[in-house]
Amino acid sequence: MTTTAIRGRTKAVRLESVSKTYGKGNSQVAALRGLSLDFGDGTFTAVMGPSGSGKSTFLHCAAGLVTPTSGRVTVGGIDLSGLDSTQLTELRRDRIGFIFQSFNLMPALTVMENITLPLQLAGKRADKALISEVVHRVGLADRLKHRPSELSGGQQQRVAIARALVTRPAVVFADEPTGALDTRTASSVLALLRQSVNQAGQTLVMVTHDPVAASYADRVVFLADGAIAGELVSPTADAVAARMTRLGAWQDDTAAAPMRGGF
Amino acid sequence: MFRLALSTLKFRRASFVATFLAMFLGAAIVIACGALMETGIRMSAEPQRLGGAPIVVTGQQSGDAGALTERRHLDPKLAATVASVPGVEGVVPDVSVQSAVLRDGKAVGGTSYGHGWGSAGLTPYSLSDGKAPAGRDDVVLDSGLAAAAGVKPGASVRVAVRGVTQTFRVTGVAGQNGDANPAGALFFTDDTARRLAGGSIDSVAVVLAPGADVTAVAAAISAKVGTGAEVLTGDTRGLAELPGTLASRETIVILAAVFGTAVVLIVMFGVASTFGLSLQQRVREMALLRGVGATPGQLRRMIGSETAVLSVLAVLLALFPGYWLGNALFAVLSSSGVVSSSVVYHAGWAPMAVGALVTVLAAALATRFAGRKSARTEPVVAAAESASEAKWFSKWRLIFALFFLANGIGLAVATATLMENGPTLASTAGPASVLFCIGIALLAPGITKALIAVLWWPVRLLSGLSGRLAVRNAMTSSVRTAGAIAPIILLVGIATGTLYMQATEDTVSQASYDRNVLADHLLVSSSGGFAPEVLDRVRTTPGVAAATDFVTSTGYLGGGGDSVELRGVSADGVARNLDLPLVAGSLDRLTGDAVALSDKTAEKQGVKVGDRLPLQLGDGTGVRPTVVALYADNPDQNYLTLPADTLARHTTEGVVSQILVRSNEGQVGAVRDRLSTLAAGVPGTELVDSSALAARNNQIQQILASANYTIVAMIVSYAAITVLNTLIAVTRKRKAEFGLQQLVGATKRQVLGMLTAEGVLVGVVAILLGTIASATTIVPYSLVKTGDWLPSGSIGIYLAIVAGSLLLVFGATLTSSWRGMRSPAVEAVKEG
Repeated sequence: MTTTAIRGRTKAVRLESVSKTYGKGNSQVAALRGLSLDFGDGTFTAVMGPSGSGKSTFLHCAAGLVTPTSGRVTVGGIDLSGLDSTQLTELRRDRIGFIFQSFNLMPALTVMENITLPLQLAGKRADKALISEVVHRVGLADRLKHRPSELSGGQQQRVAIARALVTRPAVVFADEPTGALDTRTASSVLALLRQSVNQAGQTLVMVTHDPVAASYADRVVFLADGAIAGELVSPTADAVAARMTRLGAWQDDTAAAPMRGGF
Repeated sequence: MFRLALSTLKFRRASFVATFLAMFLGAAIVIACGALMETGIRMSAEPQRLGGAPIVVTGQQSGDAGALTERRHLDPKLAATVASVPGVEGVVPDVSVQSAVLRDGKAVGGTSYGHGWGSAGLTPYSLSDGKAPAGRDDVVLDSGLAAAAGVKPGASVRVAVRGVTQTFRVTGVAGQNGDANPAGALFFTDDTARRLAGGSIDSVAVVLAPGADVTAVAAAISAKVGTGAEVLTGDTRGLAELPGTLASRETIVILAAVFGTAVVLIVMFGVASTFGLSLQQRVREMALLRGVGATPGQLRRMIGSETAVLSVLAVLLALFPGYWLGNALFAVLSSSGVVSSSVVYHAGWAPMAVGALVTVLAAALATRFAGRKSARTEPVVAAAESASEAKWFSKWRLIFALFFLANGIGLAVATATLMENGPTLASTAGPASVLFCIGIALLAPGITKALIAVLWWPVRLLSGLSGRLAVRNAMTSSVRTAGAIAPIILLVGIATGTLYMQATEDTVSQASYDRNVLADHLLVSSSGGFAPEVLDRVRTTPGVAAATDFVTSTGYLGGGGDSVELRGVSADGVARNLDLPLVAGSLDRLTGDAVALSDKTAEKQGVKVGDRLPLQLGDGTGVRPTVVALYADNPDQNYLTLPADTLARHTTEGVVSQILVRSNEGQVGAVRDRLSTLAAGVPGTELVDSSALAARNNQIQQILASANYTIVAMIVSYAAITVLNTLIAVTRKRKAEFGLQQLVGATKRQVLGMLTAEGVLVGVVAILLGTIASATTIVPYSLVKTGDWLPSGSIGIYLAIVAGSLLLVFGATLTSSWRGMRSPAVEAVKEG
């Protein structure tokens, strides 16, 4: 495939010295400190770091959910800083897919309706071929009429993945996608994500705690204190775990913290 | 977005129940008001005795200023005019004169009226025995009266008409086919009937030539008779037999309009508060939709579609209950005498459509207000996975709140300082508390927080752990607490304000009426009035200090101005029977073409003693009597006095039927005995204590009071349902929280204990605020009416309101949480 040749050449997402501070005065907290990061087309990047390292803020800024205090974010070549809230929403709808730890499916809608929801919100005609391809890829072809509450956790996350892929976004952000799943289900979901990068050239950015999950990525970026603390290309789970332990050693107070996401 | 809305509605059925109920009940009440209004506007009554005539010409019952309370009589010559119209085969000049058939000197057979025999065929009455009346002393009785009097054709019977007893010869007995005429009937010859009625006629019943068109002939008659007479067809013909019914039209229409407006406001409030709660519940869902790319506009449309579907469904289901409710409301109004019971309840498509539309619009507006915030939910909430407490404060909310509060206070101050004591006082006093309530309700989250901070220490001291938890909960989720408090504020505020205003009004008006009447005794005729010599006989009874005829009516000032009460009295007895402190002139000259009035009214009308006062009497006659006396103004008893015989001629009955009697000092008992002997000799006369006068003559006041109570009851029950609705929704929403508490070791008892403490907090805060709001109505009203800060009326009303509110709070909270805790705690936590 020709996609392999151009993979990584253009940048799906680019952050240039992005800073984000919350609060005012004495209670001011810097979540990101001049972060610069690129995510090439068709790449799978894992972002890791201890609690409080700025992972969530990074994700929100990169996805246009939060406006950075300073710096520039571009998604698919579009500068987010010039956009108003409606334009941002439309951009998210067209260019960005989301996968959450807690699936976040609409309980009132069926699997099929959940998957096509972003298309309906955008007022686009559903591309039947694409939908059926995505549905088959995530292995939900026989569950389309079910409601989320009738599915297992792994199945629900597959619905969420299908929903994220169905708009052919420039980038999919995954926030602890396997955080609520058992090990076996998690590995099948991760394999599915990897497959979407390999086969369809999807760009994927995943925030995670799990060294095993991170090992599915092409590259791991480590964050600490709102800045880059290192990078690992073609990671293995052991290497990632070792780096994480070292990051933990630099930050005594978070070493024993429970492995949960947050600001 | 519409499909999404439908799916959500189907999926979240339970959480929409509260909103649905608010819309459904609101729509039913609004439709009922619409139906009531249509009934009032159409104001039609089925014909009774004149059903056989397709067209009835009668005196026009509305003047320039408004509806007339007394019958406008017609000139007998009009019958010939009507008869000359092409298509008219025959005319029957009709009269009704109250007549009492006597048996051993006592009236028998209930209320009965004398008519001309010519009208008998229209009901129809037909002779079952004997023959038609032919001579001036002949009479035909209906079968009921004949039986009551125990007479047969050929016998003689004594009949009292207008106080004069005459002997008639019974020539026949007639039976009524059907039961259209509820009153007893006597038939004289047409000439005798007209003579007894005083020469004029009530109506002209028209019989059409074969093939003549009702509408065309009615139009032709209309053109011929000109003003002063009205041509009635169809089911408005009954109005000819019920003069004064038209006067109640205005009352019904105004009642329906005022009530309807209030209900629309409260429906909006109810829908906004219940819908707002269900939206709060869905913050995460909204954030998720925003996350996958929904714009605020799309969310607004989704929320809008939800309400649209819900409100249309609610309104459709409310059509029949609304019709039924209107009918029930109308039944209350007619049984309390606001309208004649012969008036037909009309509810066509118009009130249904208008009521439905108004409810849907009100719901849409309320949703727009409630959904504003939800539509702007930040998508981050979904990512951050925290449904934090919604921010309630906004610039617009503050502006609206201040607007309502300022208007409420403004009205209260205006009532206390600018308004004069009089019937219009309630129009500024009443709305003050409603506006103030809405203002407070808008600021409820902030006020609640402040008040609970104050209650912090006492609650902690009194109730231990559950109390501390309750205070914490109420503080940290003040928006939720305020959602429960707001409708209770409205309930307490409106109920307390209106009920005490009415109680004060009742007390003051009863007291002022009693104070105004100096007489000890009252003679009442139940057989159509007193002959003039009865007053003379009363006056010459030993021990009687003064006696006066007493006639009441309602007219209009200045030919077309304000409505004014009229009292007919006798010049030589009025001063000692009514409390009219003389300012100028003399009441002794109140004879013939004369009038006396209060100095204030005179000033307003720009007249003084000796001037002529333009006036429209109860039957629409314009007069210009000379002002002979002025008396000190009494705002609670503001009426004009005219000579009794002058005024009586312009009433429906045409005669005096009440006499006020004042005894000499210390002879009240003796006079009572002598008067009862006298009364026994005058057929159909009753002697009662003068305190009965208020009840007999102050009926308008009582009628309005009963209508007011009905309306307050409806508004209060709707508010109560909103309270229930809101509390149940709030409690259901907290199922997960209760489950969590149980998981960490709280017993059901402890959870319920905490809820009880919360209920007390909610109740105390709401009742406190509601009471403050009601003060904006009560205090100024009482200040003006009685000069006192506190209203009249029993403290029991307030205690009942407080008890009722607390019962609602605890009933709704505890039962729904008890039910919620029946499912295992682990499940409950998940569901949340």
